[in-house]
Amino acid sequence: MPDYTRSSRPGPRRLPKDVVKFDQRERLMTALATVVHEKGYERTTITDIVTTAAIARKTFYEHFADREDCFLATFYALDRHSRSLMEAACEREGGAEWPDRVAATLAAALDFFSQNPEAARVLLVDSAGLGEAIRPRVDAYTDWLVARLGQGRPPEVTAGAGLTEPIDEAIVTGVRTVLANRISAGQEDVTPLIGEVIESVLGPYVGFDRAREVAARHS
Amino acid sequence: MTSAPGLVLAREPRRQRLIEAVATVVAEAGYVNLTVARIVGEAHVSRRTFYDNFANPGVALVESHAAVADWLLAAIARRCRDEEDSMARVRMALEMVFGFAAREPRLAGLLTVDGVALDPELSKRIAVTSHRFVALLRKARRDLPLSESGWIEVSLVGGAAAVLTRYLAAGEQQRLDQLLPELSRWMLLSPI
Repeated sequence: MPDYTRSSRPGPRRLPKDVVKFDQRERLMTALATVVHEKGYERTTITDIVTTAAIARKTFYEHFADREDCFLATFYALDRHSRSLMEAACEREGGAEWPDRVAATLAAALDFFSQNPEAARVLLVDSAGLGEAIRPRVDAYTDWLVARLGQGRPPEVTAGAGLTEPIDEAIVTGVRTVLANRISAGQEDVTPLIGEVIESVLGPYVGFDRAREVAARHS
Repeated sequence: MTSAPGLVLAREPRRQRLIEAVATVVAEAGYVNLTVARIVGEAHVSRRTFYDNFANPGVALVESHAAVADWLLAAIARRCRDEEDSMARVRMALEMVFGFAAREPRLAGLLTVDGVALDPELSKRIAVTSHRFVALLRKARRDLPLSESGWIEVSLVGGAAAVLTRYLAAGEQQRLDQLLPELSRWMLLSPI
C-alpha cells in the first residue's frame, strides 16, 4: 500500500479516488439512516440525504440509482454488521450450552439496537412493508436469525418440543414485531426487554422455568 | 375474482365487487400499481361508481383492508363464543384465519399488504387491525394469566401474521393447515 503520509507536494494531500468514493458512500448511507430515524422512510427525500451527508446531489447518483437503492445498500450493510456482532457474542460463550449461547446472541442484538436507534429503525421498522424490492433482503435477514436460533440446538431438544422451522420463524418475527412497536413508539432503549425476549425465545424449547434461569444470567 | 357466497364485505354489490377488485389488483400487480383504471377494469364498473365509493385508490385500499378485517374478526368472535376453553378457542381462531387465507388468498392478502410503509394511512389502519387481533387473542386465552403489557400477545400475533404473510407471498397457503397444531400449541404454551 502506498504511503500517503509522505508527499513531496505542499498543501493538502489528496486521498485516492477509491477511498473517497468509499467514504462518500458510507456518508450517504449514514445520512439515510439518520433521516429515516428522524422522519421515516416514506418522508425521506434525496435532498434530505445529500444535505445531511453534505455531499452533492450528483455524487448521490454516482453511488445509487435512487432512494430505494440507497435504502437497500444501507439495510445490507447494517444487516451484515449486526450479524457479525451477534456471531461474536455467541462465540464468546464458547463451550456454553445452547440456551446460553442463544441468550448471549439476543442480548448482543438488543444492545446493538438500543445503542444504534438509527440502525434499528432501518433494520426493524422501516424495512417492513417496503414492497417487493426489499422483501427478499428482509426475508434473508429473518432466515439467518432463524438459522442462528437452530444452530447447535441439541436434536433431542428440538424433538422434545415438537416444533418445526416455521415456528422458529414465528418466534423470531414475533420478537421483531414487539421491538419494532416499541421503537416506533419512541422507546428506543429495548435492553430492559431482554429477560422477556430470552424467555419467549427459549421457553417453547427448554420450558419456561429453565428459560427464566437463563434469562436471569443474561439480564 | 368473486368471493364465496356469505362473505359479505359491503351491503352494496358494486362496492363488494370494487373491494374484490382491489384485492385482485394488489395480488397481481402489487400495491404500487393500484390505479383507478385497473380497479374499475377488474370490477367491471364505471369510474363514476368507483368515485361514488372511494376518493382515490389509497382510500379504496384502506377501506378494503378494513372491510376484510371487520368481516374476519366478527366471524371469529362469533365462532369462539361457543368454545369452552382457551385451547379450543385459539385453535378455532387460527383455523379460521388460515382457512380464510387458503380459500380467499387475495382477500387475505389485504390484511398484510406489502408496501404499507409507503402509505401512513394504511400503516395506521393495519396497526389498528393488529391491535384488534391482539385483543381477540387475549380474550381467547382468558383461562390463562394475561400479561399487563400485552407483550406476549403482540409477539404471538406478530409471529403468526409473519408466517401467514410469507406463505401467502409464496402461494403456499394450502400448506398452512399442516402448521395449525404446532402453531396453536405455541400460542398457548407461552406463559406470562
